[in-house]
Amino acid sequence: MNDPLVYVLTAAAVFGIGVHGLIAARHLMRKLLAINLMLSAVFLLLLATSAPLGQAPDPVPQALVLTGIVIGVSSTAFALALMVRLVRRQGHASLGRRDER
Amino acid sequence: MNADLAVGLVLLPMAGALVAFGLPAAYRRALAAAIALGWPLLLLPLTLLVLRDGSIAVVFGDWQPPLGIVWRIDGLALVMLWMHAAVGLAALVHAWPGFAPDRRAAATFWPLWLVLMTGANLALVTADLFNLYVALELVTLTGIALVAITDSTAALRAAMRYLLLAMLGSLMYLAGVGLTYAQNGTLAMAGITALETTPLVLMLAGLMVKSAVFPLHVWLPPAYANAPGPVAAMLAAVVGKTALIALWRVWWLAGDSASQALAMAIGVMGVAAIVYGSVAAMLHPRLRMVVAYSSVAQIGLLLLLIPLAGSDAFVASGFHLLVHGLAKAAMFLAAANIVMALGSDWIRRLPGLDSKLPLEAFTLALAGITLIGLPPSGGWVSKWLLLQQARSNDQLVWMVAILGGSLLSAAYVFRLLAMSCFHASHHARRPIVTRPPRAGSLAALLLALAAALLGLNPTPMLNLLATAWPGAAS
Amino acid sequence: MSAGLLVDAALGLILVGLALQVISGHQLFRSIVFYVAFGLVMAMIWARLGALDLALADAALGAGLVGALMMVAFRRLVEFEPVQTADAGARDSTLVPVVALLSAALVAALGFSALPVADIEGRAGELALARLDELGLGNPVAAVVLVFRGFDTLIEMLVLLTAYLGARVVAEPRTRLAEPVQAYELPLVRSLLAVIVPIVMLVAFNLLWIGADHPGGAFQAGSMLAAAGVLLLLTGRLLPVERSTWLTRLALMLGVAALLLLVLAPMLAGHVAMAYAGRGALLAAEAAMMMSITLTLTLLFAGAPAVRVLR
Repeated sequence: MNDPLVYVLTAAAVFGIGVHGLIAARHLMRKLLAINLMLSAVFLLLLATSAPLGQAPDPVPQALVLTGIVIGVSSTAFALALMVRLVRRQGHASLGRRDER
Repeated sequence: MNADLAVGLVLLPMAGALVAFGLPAAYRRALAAAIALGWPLLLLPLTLLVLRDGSIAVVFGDWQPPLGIVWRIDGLALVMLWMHAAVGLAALVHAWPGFAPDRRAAATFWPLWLVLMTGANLALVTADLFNLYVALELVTLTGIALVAITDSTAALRAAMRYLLLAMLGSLMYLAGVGLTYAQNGTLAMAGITALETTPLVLMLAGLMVKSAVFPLHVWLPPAYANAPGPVAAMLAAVVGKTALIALWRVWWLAGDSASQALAMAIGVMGVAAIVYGSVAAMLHPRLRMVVAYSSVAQIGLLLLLIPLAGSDAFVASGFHLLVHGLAKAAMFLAAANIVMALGSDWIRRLPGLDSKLPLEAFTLALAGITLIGLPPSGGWVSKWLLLQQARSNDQLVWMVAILGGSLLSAAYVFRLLAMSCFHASHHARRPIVTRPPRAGSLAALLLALAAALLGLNPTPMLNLLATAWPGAAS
Repeated sequence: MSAGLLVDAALGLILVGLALQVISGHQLFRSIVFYVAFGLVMAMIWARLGALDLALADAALGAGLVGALMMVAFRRLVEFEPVQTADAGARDSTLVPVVALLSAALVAALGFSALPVADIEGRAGELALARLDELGLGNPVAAVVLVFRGFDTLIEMLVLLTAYLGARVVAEPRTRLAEPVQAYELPLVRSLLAVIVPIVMLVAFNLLWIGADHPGGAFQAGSMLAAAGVLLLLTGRLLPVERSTWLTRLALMLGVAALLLLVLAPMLAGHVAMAYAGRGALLAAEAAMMMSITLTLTLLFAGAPAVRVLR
């Protein structure tokens, strides 16, 4: 088995990078990318901190992450469609208060 | 065998959504109406069962926990299911002409409306942390799509902000659920014996985003204010409330092990929400924003249950959830009519409302009385019980918060009423842009009446709620 | 053992490096490309952790399809406004790195607090393994997803359908977005498609078929097939159309409907809701799910309510 510590640290770093991207970016597409990074970090954390059963990881967290991936993809797909519509409506791709017209 | 009916709470609107989606656009609205009208036929036998047995349990596939998914329908869930039915029906009546089959938006509105009911009912009845996660995802995604259906820049911006925050909230909740499983070996709420602070806080934080607890409320006012009236009513009475109930349920999982400091911190957030939401509602120049900010304040009041932690407070909060849901839905439906009639939702355009739209003005007044908590409205009962609990616990801070919240809500409600009713006579002569359909006005009025009249004989409802108090067992 | 650790550390570092690339730089398109690479490395990590179902799902869905969806959204943005810079007026506040570092530390602390992983007696995963034989299935993840926690999967399929409905809500009215009307008739494209599409279909059907016993299943197979759908859209073999037929809508909701039947049918036969109906029923439901997943994802990429095949 591998050391879960490595992946906990990886997840932490990726999560932090995601937070940075989410706050710093103005473009909605990049905000979405950042949220997806954070989501991956959470998935990694969930599996790294679950106790293995025999050779493989516990199937329950695996099932949770699988469901989480599909729900994440669904939300992202809808968010992208919403973003395209919003950009065509307001002319730019950010939500900042300064950009309100 | 009878308990199997409970599955229909989720499967019936789900099947309805599928059929509606499959049917040509012309029949979708009628199908939604059929389900909304037939709904009480399903709820009635379940109500009798809950009254007899206290609660109904469903175990899917007979896979008992810790392995499988279980539902538990208790008094609180039952009361809220009836509220969903009432608000859903009123929203349907209100949306009937606006989302007529010849409108482009109608093709997606009605299936989404049924999916929203599916998710909201599931979130109420499930007793499984991950099942709750998928239910809340369904509810939020549908809610956001329905906000975007207005297709104005403001609505799209509101939907986008809501979606980004909701995604953040759900990833926090998911992280908390995963850690809870790692420590307990199950996702069934009943099987959770050791809930440490870290997963508890993660789950609470996620649910706070979804139920718009100050300062995580930023998505709520623009989303509620820019959604179509029936959608805003559903968001306020159904979407926000289910997330709040989920928050309570997760809090109770921690049981006595939850730290007092955390309860205090949540109480302080509640007070901050009451003050901030009320002040914002008092100052905002737009009608629907005032109603939306009032929701922020009321969510704060409902958070006080956590530090008050007593059966009286529980019954009061459950009851307040019900009457506030009804009253707020009524206000949003009425506000949508007012905006339609006046052509704007600036409050300075309200003078003359009493003669132009007397039904709407009366609805606002009735619902407002419930929000403030004046007798004999339902709001009076719940606030009185909350105060009693705070007094018996010797928690003066929360007493002051509850009373102060009522005063503040009186301020913003009277501002609306004063603007509508006390004015120079020439205001009444400005013509109405579009007269709102009478059925929608009546639907709003009936909801407001229900909220107000529930205060006359609240005892059966309170007794029903008391059976769901999680502290009763211990 | 230490070699294994080295591989883990290397993969972790690469993942962090790719994540950094995703959020930095001026060009959005570059970020998307790096995000796809991030997803692929993520899939390798899942494989290292022994979670092959997740490896397949993340490679196909997380990296492949989300990447494709991001790129097509990017193209629509560029059509509207040719210059899409990611950092126009990006916040340069010193607070941002501080918040980022704090949240990273928070997650690390979170992981460490959970880390001596508790081996709980009789936890759900253990029971799932123990009762696997009763079901006649070989893949514990499939057993959890489809049987023990099948109701979650039903709602998950409904969430996917809701994403389609939501995308319909915000779709541009009356304008045709996708314009590659003439099919690319280069000989190379034709022969490429003639090779790739059947292979993808074979792999997908295989994934579906073995999913009950080995890593794989409807989600992985459906997203592979959707990748083929994306390819056919890009080469003009599938054309977006503005009206959906009842057949399209039936295919979109078939997955939800099949799982709904898995809940209801046992009740009609006098058993409890979602009582296990056997391997055959499960495979049939998975086939239906695969069809819905494929079509939903393809249509989300097309940005249209339906597609038709170019004759």
